Amino acid sequence: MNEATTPVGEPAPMGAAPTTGLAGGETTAPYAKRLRPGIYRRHHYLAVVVFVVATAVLAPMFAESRSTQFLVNLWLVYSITGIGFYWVFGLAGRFAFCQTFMMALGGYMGAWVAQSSLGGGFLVQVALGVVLSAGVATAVGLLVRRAQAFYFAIATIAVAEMGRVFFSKAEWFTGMNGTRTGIPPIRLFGRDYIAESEVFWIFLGGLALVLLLAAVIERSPLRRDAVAARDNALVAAVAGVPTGRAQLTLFVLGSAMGGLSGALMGPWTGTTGDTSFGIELAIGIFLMLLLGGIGSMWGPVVGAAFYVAVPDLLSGFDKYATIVYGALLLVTIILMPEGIVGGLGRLRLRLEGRWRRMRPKGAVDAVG
Amino acid sequence: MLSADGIEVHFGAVRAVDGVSLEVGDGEIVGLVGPNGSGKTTFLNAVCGVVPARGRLEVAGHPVRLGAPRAAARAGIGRVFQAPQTFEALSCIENVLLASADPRARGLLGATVLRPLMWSREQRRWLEAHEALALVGLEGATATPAHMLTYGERRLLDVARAIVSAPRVLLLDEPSAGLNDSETAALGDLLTRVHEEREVPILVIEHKIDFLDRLCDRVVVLDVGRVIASGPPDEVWRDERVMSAYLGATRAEG
Amino acid sequence: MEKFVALTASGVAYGAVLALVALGFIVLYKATGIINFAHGDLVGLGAYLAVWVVDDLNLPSVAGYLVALALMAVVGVVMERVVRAPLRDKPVLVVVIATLAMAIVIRGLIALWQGSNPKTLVSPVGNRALHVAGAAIAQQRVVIVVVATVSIAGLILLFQRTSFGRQVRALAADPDTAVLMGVRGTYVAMAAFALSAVFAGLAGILVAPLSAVDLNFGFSLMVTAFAVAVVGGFGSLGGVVVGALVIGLVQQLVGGYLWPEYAGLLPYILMFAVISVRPEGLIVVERSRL
Repeated sequence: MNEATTPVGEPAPMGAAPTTGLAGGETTAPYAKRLRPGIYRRHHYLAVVVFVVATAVLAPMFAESRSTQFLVNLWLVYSITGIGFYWVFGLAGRFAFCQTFMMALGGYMGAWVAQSSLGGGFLVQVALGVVLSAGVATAVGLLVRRAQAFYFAIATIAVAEMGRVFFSKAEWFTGMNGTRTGIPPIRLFGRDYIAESEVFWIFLGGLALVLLLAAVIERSPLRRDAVAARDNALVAAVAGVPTGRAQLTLFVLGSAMGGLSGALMGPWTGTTGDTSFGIELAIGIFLMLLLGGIGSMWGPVVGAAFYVAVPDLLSGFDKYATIVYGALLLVTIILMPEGIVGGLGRLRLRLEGRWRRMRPKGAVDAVG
Repeated sequence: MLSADGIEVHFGAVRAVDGVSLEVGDGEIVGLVGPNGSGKTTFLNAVCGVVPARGRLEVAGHPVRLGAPRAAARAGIGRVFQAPQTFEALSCIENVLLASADPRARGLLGATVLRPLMWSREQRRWLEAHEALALVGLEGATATPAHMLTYGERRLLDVARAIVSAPRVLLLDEPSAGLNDSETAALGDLLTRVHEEREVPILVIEHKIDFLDRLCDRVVVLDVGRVIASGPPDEVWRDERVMSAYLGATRAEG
Repeated sequence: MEKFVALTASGVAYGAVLALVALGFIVLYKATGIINFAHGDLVGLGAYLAVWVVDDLNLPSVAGYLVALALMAVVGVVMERVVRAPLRDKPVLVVVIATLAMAIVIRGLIALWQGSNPKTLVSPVGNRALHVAGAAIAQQRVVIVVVATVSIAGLILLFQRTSFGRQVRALAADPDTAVLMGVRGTYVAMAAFALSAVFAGLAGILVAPLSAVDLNFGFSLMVTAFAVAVVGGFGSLGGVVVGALVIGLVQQLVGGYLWPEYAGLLPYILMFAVISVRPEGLIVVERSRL
């Protein structure tokens, strides 16, 4: 190894090249620039900041009616669960059917805490909801950690169905007929957030935190490991990747985000019921991810916007909503497998390709 | 160095590898040859833990658990598969970094808390990954998505991934397959360079005789899952059993 | 004793329905590698079609059921065209998600067509019951067992004795080689989709008189049938039949005697347990050659 390399400090300007003799020789300025591939540049954080600021400015401007504000808030919480599912299904490649179950679990837990003698503030309720869904996900993930593809899917369906039966029977936990009502509104820093326009800020804050976490993961070895485990677990293991751990971590983390969004919804709408987390939403989460684009953390955010907007766009034709969702999902898979964000990314690559050569130089010479 | 003792692999009733013992010493390049179906690839698979196997395996004097790919990787066994096994969803440098990431930076805690604290170490990983890419001649492709590489480049990327974490032994499975003569020659140069600069012993499966002659200090011949000959290339080619094994194979194929 | 006989009878009948549902999607899985998540909604569709044919078209029940099954075959073929044909070169996982999309399309169409109120299908044998050892057994359950047995025997014969069966088995063993050897994948896939839909429809029609037909009617049957397939080993048809009877009996007997509240959980617990103990299962996951 070249022990002489002086570590390039993170804040160092792009032009500052390491001046040591590397195998292969050329230590020119572009080398230092290429050293950190796109995924490790800071644009992920920048994008999060731009997104949050833009949403904070634009959403209150355009969402004037109460119903539109409601839809915006729904979009924000669905984005949270969608990003969680992006980790589970997009990155770790785990075909999981229990994301809505995790939402329900987090929602019931939060509501139960809020209405029990424990009380606890809003943050405590949400935190316990997240912890419970993460804990259940850990147990499930460990038990079926070696199950692949369809078996994992079927096992998580089993979990979701067990949850459904449990939720309908355990009224001490889920309330009368599996619905908890009268959940106190969000109370944080000494004030209540009741109106849609007030709740908006809490949800945007929550989504901002989740997006930051997503950006961290996007740049981390965890993402690489999970993608490698997803695409070829055996080869990844031979390269030394802890495949099972990477997939389990993302499954638990993604499920926790489901719990988070479920726990946020209770104090917002005042009720938590099994009907809000039914099979329509389960398939809706697939739709969000696939329509938005499975290859990017922004996919589910864009997809959730569409998912929330469809019934509104179809106003008067509500009864067609289910069919439209299904058809949209089919059309997406067949015609636009990369989703909206993926399609835009491809477009960008194509435009950039005009100015910049994508093919590596020198690679061919080495062999040929 | 690698020392395998009595490695056995069974597929049902078939003994694909039937008690193979061989050593690859420090500073050696050893060729592993034999007719089709003689168990060469299965032997490599057993050594890097991809198939369940019995026997004893040591790397640099430390025993390695069989049938556990990650244990093999940790012990310093680098493997290049016959068909390139790149991760197409990742860029070239990410493919390489897969094999070299700090174990502490891999989990959730690592990603969120520890990794920013180990920034300089991370930078060094990038440098190492880049060096490995440069060594195989892919330094111009660090950020290129792996799915844009040609077949030959993918194999080079596999080599880079196998050498980045300073392995103690490198296993290659027919690296020249699918390459023309000049590409094969360039590959030979590359392997010699890797061998010398990284000081890593190499065990390579090959069919091309002149390639082996030029590269290897020693060849080991397998037939029907057993070692039938071992020694310097020109001696081994004259060995009766080797000739009959290959002639037999030729007859069977023809 | 009466209770035991009654529970056993309903367990066997339930198991027979589960076997029909499970065999339906296993035929498809063997022929195409696809697990059809719309299968449950096909079960529901079969029941709704039967209700429609009998109530609205006023056909006599048995003839009406045959018409409904013929329509199911058409639905199966349409599904192959919509879901599998355009996605042939995509990974199977993608096709599976497409079947999920198809599931909600079917569900949405049923809701539009029949509304969301539960329907009832009158049994052709009415509400008559058989009395065995003092226990009353609805004759519909007897019909279920008889029809299911005949259909399953027919399916097994089809698999063992006909060219179609050989082609499906070849596809299940090695799709690429099978296609190279002249198996016409598309035709077999269409036939398998049709056959699978017919089995789904048959199960729906048979079980409908015992409960109300609503939109979620097929889904829970499908998930329980997944449990059957997992317990029975996804591979052999015989294993599936055994798995179905085991799950049907366990659910009825254990539910009837010990744990009525949570009897519905049993199949899922069983399925989850099997997957956690035998994760590689009996599904052969194709692995790329290294």
